[in-house]
Amino acid sequence: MIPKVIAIVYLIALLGVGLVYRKGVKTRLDYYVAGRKLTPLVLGLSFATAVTGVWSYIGAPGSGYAYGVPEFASFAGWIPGVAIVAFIWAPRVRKKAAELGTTSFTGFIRDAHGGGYALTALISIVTMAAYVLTFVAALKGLGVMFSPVLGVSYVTALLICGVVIIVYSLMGGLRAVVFTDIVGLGFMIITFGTVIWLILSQGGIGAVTARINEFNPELLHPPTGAPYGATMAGIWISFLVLYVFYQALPHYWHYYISLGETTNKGAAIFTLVATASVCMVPFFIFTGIAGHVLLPGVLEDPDTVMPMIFQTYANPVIFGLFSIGVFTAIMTTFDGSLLATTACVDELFLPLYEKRGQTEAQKLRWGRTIMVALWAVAVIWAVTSPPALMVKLLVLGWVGLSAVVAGPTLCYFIKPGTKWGAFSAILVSLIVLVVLSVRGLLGWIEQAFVALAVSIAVYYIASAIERKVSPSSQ
Amino acid sequence: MKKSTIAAAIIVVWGIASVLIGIKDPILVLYTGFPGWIAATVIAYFLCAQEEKEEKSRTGGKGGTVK
Repeated sequence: MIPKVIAIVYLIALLGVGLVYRKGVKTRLDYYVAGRKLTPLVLGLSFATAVTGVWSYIGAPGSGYAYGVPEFASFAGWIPGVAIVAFIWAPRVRKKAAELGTTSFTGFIRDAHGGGYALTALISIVTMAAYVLTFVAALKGLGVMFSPVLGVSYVTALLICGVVIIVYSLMGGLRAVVFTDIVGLGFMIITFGTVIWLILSQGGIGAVTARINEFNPELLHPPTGAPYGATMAGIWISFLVLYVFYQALPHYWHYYISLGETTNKGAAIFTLVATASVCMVPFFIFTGIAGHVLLPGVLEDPDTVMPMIFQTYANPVIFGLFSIGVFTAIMTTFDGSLLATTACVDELFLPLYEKRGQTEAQKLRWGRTIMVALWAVAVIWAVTSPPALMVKLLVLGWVGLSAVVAGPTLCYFIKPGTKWGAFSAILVSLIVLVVLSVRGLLGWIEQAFVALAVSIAVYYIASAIERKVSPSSQ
Repeated sequence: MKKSTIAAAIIVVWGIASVLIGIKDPILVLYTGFPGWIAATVIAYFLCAQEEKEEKSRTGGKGGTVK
């Protein structure tokens, strides 16, 4: 009963957030990028919740339960990545986006490379295809997690949560999305506190480690780096590199575009809050591994380890808050990426708006319509497919997407290429990634690294060819 | 060398050190690597704040290179 009451109060509060921020949304700039006025502190708090998301609560502890410590490596790579973003990348993206006046990931790449509808269409469609899967996974996760909490069916829970998310996102735009992200961080801190209490109540990390070692020493000293790679050393180093290009994901990029003017102090604040949040997650993973000695029997689905531990050890209020934390994590993944994707798809219709002489208010209305359409596709897909958490799908799709777009995003700031360079880089690396995935060649990290290398190589080769053929190219 | 550069370097160097610790003993990262990272970012914050303060006093109120 208590978790249900907490959930209902929270869902109503979210609608209030949308209402509060509704008044500040007058233009597409307000809606998509919050007027480009986000401060590093706000952005850091929001970014941290959005980047760790549902993986931190469910997927990472589940992977810890299934495979042991290799999951630690996936979070160790974050912090240097966040520092590079904060000090070097985000300020440059912000500055360039403000110069170009762009409000989307698509618009940034297109305008930075000198325009072209083919490039706009390719980026928007690739982004949309990748993220619709994310939306479906998020909605299904909401249905699975909230059905028992609200005491309703999977479909009803999915629809209730989905409607709340679309309503506040439509009303408040990025400001509402960011605010709810920050609220999500509060729940993450509560979860962290509970996890620390649980570990201490079991005798501390040392005692729990000894029990895990007694149960199965391979969980803490695995012979391979499964599920990520062949060796532990290999995956620690791979994740360090991976998270640098992972920051090129469209919905992360959308945050950088929305950043206001900043300084090095701002970059340090961003890094500090983002790091503090990310550093909580390894303790969740450790708890997931400890699930083997904390819970009786063997779990069929490793992703249920954290909910099971909280249900077993925490009191109903804490379990309720944990459930809301999971909801918030899924929601932050969903709302931020839905907004960023809408901004990308909206770019497809900009020429049409201009041709029809649409006013700023009309353009904004069309943007909101696109958001509802994307949401509706995901809802229908999620409702008509079986319940599943599908947490891995979120991460796997994103790693692939960030690799594919790495050429025209990361490399642009090293040495800018041309528009056909950008177009070819995305298209060719996407084809390579799809072929590798369909044929099941290499592990998924290796596939992403191949796509990354192809994206970068094609970006520069195609740009050199274009400059040779047409010297007036950028 | 600028203090902000040192700050960014501290975080990245600690990141690499943590990865090396992780390769040797992953559980040790829970005790050292992750808490150390938070400490490194706190140090980085104070270095950047100090740099901004110095720039402010040098330029007469307008501090911190706007990025």
